[in-house]
Parts: sequence; structure tokens; C-alpha cells
Amino acid sequence: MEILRGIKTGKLKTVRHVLLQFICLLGLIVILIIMTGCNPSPEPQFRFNRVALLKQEKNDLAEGERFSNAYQSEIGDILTALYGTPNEPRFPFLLGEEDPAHDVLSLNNLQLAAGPVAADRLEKTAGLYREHCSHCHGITGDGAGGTAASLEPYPRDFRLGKFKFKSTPLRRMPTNDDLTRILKNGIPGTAMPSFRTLPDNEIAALVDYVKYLTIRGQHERRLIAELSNLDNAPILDFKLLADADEEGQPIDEEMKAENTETFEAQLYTVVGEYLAEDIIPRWVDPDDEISEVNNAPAGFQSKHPAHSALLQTGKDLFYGKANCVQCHGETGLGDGQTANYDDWTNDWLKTIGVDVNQPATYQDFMMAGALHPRPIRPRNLRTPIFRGGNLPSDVYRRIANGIEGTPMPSSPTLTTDEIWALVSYVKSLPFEDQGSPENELPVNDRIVD
Amino acid sequence: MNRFWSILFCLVPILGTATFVMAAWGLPPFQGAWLPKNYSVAGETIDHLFYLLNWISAVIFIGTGAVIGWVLWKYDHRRRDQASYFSHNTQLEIVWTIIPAIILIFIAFYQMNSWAETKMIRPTISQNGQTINKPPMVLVMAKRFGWEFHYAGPDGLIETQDDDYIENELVLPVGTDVVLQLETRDVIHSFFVPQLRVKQDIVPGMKQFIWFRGTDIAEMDIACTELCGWGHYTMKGRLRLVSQKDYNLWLTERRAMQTPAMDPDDPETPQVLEERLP
Repeated sequence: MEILRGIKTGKLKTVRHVLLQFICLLGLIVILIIMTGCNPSPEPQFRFNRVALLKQEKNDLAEGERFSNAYQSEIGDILTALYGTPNEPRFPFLLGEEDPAHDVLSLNNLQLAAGPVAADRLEKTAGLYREHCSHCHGITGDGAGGTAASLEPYPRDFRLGKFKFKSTPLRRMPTNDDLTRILKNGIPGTAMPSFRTLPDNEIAALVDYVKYLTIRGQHERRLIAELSNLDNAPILDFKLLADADEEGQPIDEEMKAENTETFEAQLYTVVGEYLAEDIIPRWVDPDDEISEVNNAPAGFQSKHPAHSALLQTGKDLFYGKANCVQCHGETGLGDGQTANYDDWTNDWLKTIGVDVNQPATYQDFMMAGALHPRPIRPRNLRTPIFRGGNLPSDVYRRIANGIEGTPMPSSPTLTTDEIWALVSYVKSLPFEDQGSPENELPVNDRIVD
Repeated sequence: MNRFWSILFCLVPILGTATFVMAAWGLPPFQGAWLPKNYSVAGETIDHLFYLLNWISAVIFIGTGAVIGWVLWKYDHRRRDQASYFSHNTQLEIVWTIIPAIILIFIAFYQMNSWAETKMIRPTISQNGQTINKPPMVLVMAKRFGWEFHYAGPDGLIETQDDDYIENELVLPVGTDVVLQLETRDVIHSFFVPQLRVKQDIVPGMKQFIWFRGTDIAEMDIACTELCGWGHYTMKGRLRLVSQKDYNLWLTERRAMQTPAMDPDDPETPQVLEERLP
């Protein structure tokens, strides 16, 4: 209005006045932005595994009893001392340069992946995990990032130390190549995208960071699992190192030496026994464990005269000896059974007193951060994508080794040729001839021999 | 302050034109803001159309800007506080309807071939004496948030059992017509390669076809240019244009991976690597 009046009356001074007002307002906005907008958000912290603690309490303590509250901060302190924080990762290379953990991961890689996302103008790479991964997998690698609850399947919780798609057998750790492949290919059919456009060194950094989060999570679970044996005593009793007792009386030398020895034994259990003797060795050289993919029969070639016989063998196995039909369903649509849960859910779902049909019995787990339990669906074999890779050797390994953390078992009773027959059949399923009358029925109504 | 408003309003077309010129010349701070280098044969026509339309728009924009500026300047209220008023002028209205109509009709006819070539007339091949549409080389499956590239296997057809798929990396030969079939697994995506002057929405339930002929060896990004969810910004793939020889080599390697190791002593083990290549 002021401007209009200024124009109408020709009072250009008013226009100047309005301009001045405008500039003042602009200045005020800039000052407000500077004052409020530039506070850095608080440094993120690793989240304590409350689900594992709750499970331990429910399984090992009497109804309503809880562990001492001090444990949560004590475990947090121990883990921070060993593994640092999301901004400043550390790794307990106990033997210095000689430590076998150097074969597992490198601190340089961790530093590349950790920390806040580095802006391009800093001309350095950092914060890769937070840039690409944490919104689904979470800062802690607990598979509970911001988008997790809306994804099917849920993002992987690394802390159990289980990985589905790998070239090693069940209960063995994946190789570097396995993790790199997952990052490069993504997992088709899930929300896990491909990071092929990242340079190799960044992928290597992320692989190491995933291992770091996994080892940290495994260590945390191990500490929590041992709480039942401690009878509410601290995990590491620093009072043992004191020079005087509680009443201020100096402790004699002999007693002190004994105390120090006890403390060192505690320390050894926590770091040496749990980590160096148990967790780390399983991560060292998983390449030695890679399961072999035996030569395929010549009939695997689709143009080979023996191919149709091989397919028939595969079909017979599917409905017979290998019993794939039980889970994957009569039509291979993955509707055979739909009531199983994967290991990440079963981990807490199998706790005493929890009934999946009564949400009230596991409400406290939800509060502790567990995601709503969803049954794991067997793979629909009529889509031409395979989560762990579509190479024949990938499908071979899935059948031969099973899939870690899922009801998919390994198949020690099948011969090499039988597994190859199944691979051949499974890979042909999405493209089954639509011309035969049986297949013209809707896929659910087909008569299955 | 006398001419404050006429100068202020004249600054809009002047700065607008200056920004355009600076961007086209790559002057700071607009380096790299102009069209990226073109790597497609059809792209040359598209660029030509782009420049033509730009010139037409530039002439009209600068012309109208100048006229409005001149009016503002000349009829400043300080000089004349009473504007003359007239209700309409048939001659003037005919002129300013016919001229734009001619321009639009010219553009419509002028671009018709190029539109047909890039969107309607698919490259053909002759098969068994018949001329048929060239079958797609790759099925591009867009999904939240990434690209699956399903390559036709030795049978030369996509969506068959011998397909191979690879995520976020598309390798294509230069100097040959490439046909892609675009589909989406979920929501609407859009396949955009600025260097190939290709942009095509992908609609659920529909098959879209695009084609182009690469001119030179290069690497470029494939972007999704339809907001498809929170991860839209991560939906980036890499397109590598390679020579036909390198393409065949790459394809052979991929196909060798598709074939498991077979018993070398079995006389029936076929020689896989000698399979037919396109």
C-alpha cells in the first residue's frame, strides 16, 4: 500500500522509506538464520542393544526382575573404549601391528566411512556410511534407521553377525568379495540398491565399516549374554585397582597383587576371550571357507539334448526328494508356508512368554526398539530375479549351502548333479512355456503333478 | 530516482539475456550450465531444434522487452500524468495473432521428422526377408531406487531364460542403433541421459521403447528425472558407450559367467565362448 500511495502522490521519499524497511527486514532474517540455523546437530551416538538386554532379562531372571541399570552405561563405556564413537571410530588391535584383525579391516577405511557426511567443497571423502547406509541400517547398524519400518524386507541388522548371501557355508562369515558384490549389485527384489557408481576405495571402506559395526554388535551381544553369570557385580570391577579399601585403609601388597590379577582376568575375559579368541578368528580368512561349486553336467546348456531330462529331474526333486514345494509352494510362487520368521526376528520372538499372536506379550520389545514381527516369505520363484545373484553358481550355492538366518536349509543329501538339475529347473520357472494347456490356467489353479 | 521503475523493470530482460549468453559461453559463474556434449546421432537434430527455438524466443523476448522498456521510459508519469486510452485495434490484434500462429505452425512442421525419428519410427532390421522392428537389446527395469538392465542372451531376445541382468551399469556399443525397452517395477520413473538427448517417462504397466545411435566412446550418468520417493536422488546409473569390439568382449565375459564350469573331460561339454554374438 505504501508503495502505491507513494507512486500515486509522487512522494518518492516514501518509496525510499519502504526500501529502507525492506532492507532492514532482510537484515533481520539473515541475523535470525545465523543465530538459529547454524547450531550443529548433536553428535550421534551408538544405540545400546536394549532388545538383547530385555531378552536376557526375560529368559534368565525371575518375572519382573531386571539387571542393574549400571550395566547399560558400563557396556557402553567398554564398547566406546574399544570401538570409539560414530564420529571417531577405533578398533582394538590388541597385538599392535601383528594383530590378526588387520586382515579383517583397516582403520583408514573406517575413518573414510565414519563421521558426518563431508560436503563436496571439503574435497575429502568422509561420512560414507551416513551418506549411503544409515538411513536404513541405522547409525549403529541395527537395521532400524529412519526408513526401516516401511521397508519389506527390513534392512539387515548387522549385530547378529549373520549374512544371507555369501560364498561360504552356514555359520561362516562372508568374504570381502561377498560383501563387495552385495554393495555393487544391490539385492534385487529388496530396497537394497546398487552402489556400483561409487569408486572401489569407497566400497572397500563401506565393507570394512559394515564389518566393524558387525563385530561391535557381536561383542555387545556377547557382553549382554554374560550378564546372567555376574550376579549384578560389575563386568570390570575397577575397585579392584584401588590402593585403599572402602574405609580408607590401605590394602596390603599381597592382597593388591591378587586384586590386580582378578581384574586382569576380568579384562581378559571381556576383550581376549570374547573378542580376540571368539569373534575375530571367525572373521579372519573366510576365503579359506569358500564352498566349491562343482562342475555342472553338460545338459545344463539349454541347447544340449540332455537338457529336458535334466529339467525333469529338477522338477521331480522340487516336488520330491528336495521338498522345495513345502515352502516355495506347489506353483513356486513362494506361498507354501507363510508363518515362519527369520533369525533376526526369532532372536527375540522366541523369548519365554512372547506369543506372536498376542501383541501385548511383546509390547516391551517394540518399546525397546524391535521392529514389528513380520513372517519371512519364501522366494517367489516365478520372477526372474534372484536376491543373491542370478549366476548359476549363485543359485547353486543358495541350494547347496542354504541361506543364513532363514528357514532355507542346506542340502547335504543332494548330489552335485541333483543340485544342478534344481538350479536348471528353478531358473526355467519364470519362463515356463505358456503354451501347454496346464499353464493356461491361472497360475494358482494349475494342476501340479 | 526519476527513472527508478523503468530501469528496474528493464533490468529483468537485460539480466535474463545476460545470464543466457554467459551460460552459453561458459563464463563464470555459469561454467558447465549449458548443454553437455552430445553423443547421439539424433541428438544433433535435437540440438539444432533447441538452438532454433532459442533464437526465435530470444528475438521475441528481446523485442518485447525492448518495447515494454521503451514504453516505460517514454511514458513516465512525471512527463505525462494522463495516459491516452483506446479500447481495441482490430489491425493490431490480427497482426499479433497471425505472427505467433505462423511461428507455431512453422515449428510444428519443422520438428515433425525429428519427433517421428526419435519417438515413432523404430529402427528396423531385416529378418528372413522381412523388415521388422529391431528387437530391444536391453530391458531397462526401473525401480525404487535403481536400474536393472536385463540383457538379451544368446537368443537375442529379452525376457527369456538366458537373460543376464546387471544393476546400475549399462554398457552399449557405439555406431549401432540401440533399442531399449523401458519398464518399471513400481511407480513412475523417467530415464534421462542428457548426453544422448534422451528422456522418457516410464509408466507402470506400459512398455516404452527408446532408441539412439551413440557416436563416440564415453561414460555418462543415467538419472531418474521423475520424483519417485525419498531415494530419488540416489537413483543414478552409469552408462558406458564402448566400441563394438569391446562390447562383444564384455558380453562374452558376462555370458561366460552365466555358464557354470562343466566337466572338461565330458566329450559333450560344448564350447560356450563360441556362441553367436549380435
